[in-house]
Amino acid sequence: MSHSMSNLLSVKGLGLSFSEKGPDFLRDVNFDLNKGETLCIVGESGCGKSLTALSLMGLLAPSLSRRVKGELSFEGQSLRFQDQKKLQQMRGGRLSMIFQEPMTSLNPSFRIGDQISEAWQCHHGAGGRERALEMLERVGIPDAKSRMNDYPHQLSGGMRQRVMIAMALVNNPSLVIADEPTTALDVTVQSQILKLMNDMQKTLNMGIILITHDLGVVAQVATRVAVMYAGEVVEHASAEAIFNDPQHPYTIGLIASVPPISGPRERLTVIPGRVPLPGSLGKGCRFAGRCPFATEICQTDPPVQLMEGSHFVRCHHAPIENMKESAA
Amino acid sequence: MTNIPTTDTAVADTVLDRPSESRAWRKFRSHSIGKAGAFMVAFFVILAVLAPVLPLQDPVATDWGAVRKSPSFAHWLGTDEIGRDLLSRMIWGARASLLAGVVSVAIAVILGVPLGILAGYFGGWTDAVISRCTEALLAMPFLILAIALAAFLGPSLTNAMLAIGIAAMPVFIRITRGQVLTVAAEDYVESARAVGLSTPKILRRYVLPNVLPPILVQATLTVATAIIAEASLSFLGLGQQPPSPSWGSMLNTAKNFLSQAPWMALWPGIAIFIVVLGFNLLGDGLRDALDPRSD
Repeated sequence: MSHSMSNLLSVKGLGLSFSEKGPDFLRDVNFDLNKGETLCIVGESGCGKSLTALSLMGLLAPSLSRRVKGELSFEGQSLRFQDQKKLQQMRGGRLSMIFQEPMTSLNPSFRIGDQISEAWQCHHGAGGRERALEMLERVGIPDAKSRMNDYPHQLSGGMRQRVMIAMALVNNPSLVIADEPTTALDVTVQSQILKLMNDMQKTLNMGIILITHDLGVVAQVATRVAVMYAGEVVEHASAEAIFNDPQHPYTIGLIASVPPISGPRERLTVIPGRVPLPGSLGKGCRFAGRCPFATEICQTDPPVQLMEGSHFVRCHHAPIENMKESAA
Repeated sequence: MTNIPTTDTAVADTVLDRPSESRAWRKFRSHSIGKAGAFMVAFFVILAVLAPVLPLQDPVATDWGAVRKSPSFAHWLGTDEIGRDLLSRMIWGARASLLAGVVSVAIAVILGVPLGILAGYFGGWTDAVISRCTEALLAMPFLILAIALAAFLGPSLTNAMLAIGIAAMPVFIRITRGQVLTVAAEDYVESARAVGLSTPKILRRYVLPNVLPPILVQATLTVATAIIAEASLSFLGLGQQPPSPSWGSMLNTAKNFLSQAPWMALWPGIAIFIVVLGFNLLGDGLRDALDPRSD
């Protein structure tokens, strides 16, 4: 599974705490991404998805970015310990980001054409407006020539997200991090945007990290999936394996929570309890408090990542089949 | 990896250029109150600029045969206590008053806005130092501070403008800082960083334009205040020095002859009123026109 030749991004042991002795908001986060692949990071609100993205982009506040631990390597270069200038060149160039809120992520004072062309010009110099027009046409903005001169407030949400995508892709990045790019959009627009990102990915052979909590989206686009819980990656595998053979009790719970479209109406399945607050994290497994399979060892020892081929699970009881049998 | 082929730049046509008439200008032109303000201000500006070429009498020449004459054909606005033509003095005085208003506000904006941006964007120690100094200045009443500074610098129009500019600066630091705090937290600033823009460029292109509208409105309103402040300083003898005219110093002299020659006080009073009103209306018009979110 891991072709070292096409390896684009590798994250090893990423950790982050808000203060010297404070709890870890991110702990031992590991994942890899190859060119042309889509990695979906899923998990409920507050599990550290966005923090992971911001750490990768180097967009954390300076006081926080000093506390980032671990190895982040992108195209064979470390993303940490880079001087600001170099990081700045990388941002928007090889490495770029699409934000969650298209309504507020564009500068209201500038025409969209100017904003896209600026993104090009700060990496390449001249020729931004021609390039911006071309990108707007590529992302499917009708009548792009006159739309160039529109202000963001004159566009709909879906249009703005297309503009954001044009801006993120204007410099041919090899990795795009999309932080819930479709959450603010309605379902039809959402599928158009996902299709657009998919098409652009094929043309550019870029890697995409898609942060989402929508398992429907994951099923549509993911090559690989990383499930996060309370600042840790609890399971990391191919999309197929995650949906057909989930190993971590949390992943199983997540998939079971998606209401089925057909069949009789029943009460929705939920995972009891809530995400623990960072201050109350114990030494053991972070999911132990909500886990139906938890035993004594789960309370005391942090589970190590267990590997079966390219399927990573952070659970003492993996593979879970044995557990289900003994429970039954 | 495949690069997206770039289009042939030769075929780039005029549509790629920005539209020549800006939206803000179009909106301002249909804003009748703002236009009225602009006309009032423009009227005095044109008079002040044309002062040297208008067929006016010498504003400092005295005529002992025509002391404190009421308005007549020889002297349209009358004469003052040593027989100087008031029309001529009003128009030459407009130069001092308008200059004082605009220059002192320019000083306040040029010093205040960058300090406010630094304080708001970088926070921490930078913010603490700038904000405490601003608060110390704000603790003193505007006019008292201007009078103290002008007295300290010595009486002249230039020093009066400097004094008013420095006294008006804290308001601009305050407003800018507050605006920057909101704007810097906006998603588009973060997305600008994600695109790879440098901090100076983000400040110039993303922060400054979005904090500018309220500052511009404040600036036009402050021009009005500054004109009154200059009049006050000149009234106290700290601004324009005699015999050169300014509306404030003319009022100062006129107060001694209110019962014998009320027109001496009337004209500068009306002029100050109209210019101040004009700048206020202009400020309102600009606010509406510059807001990119309103249509």
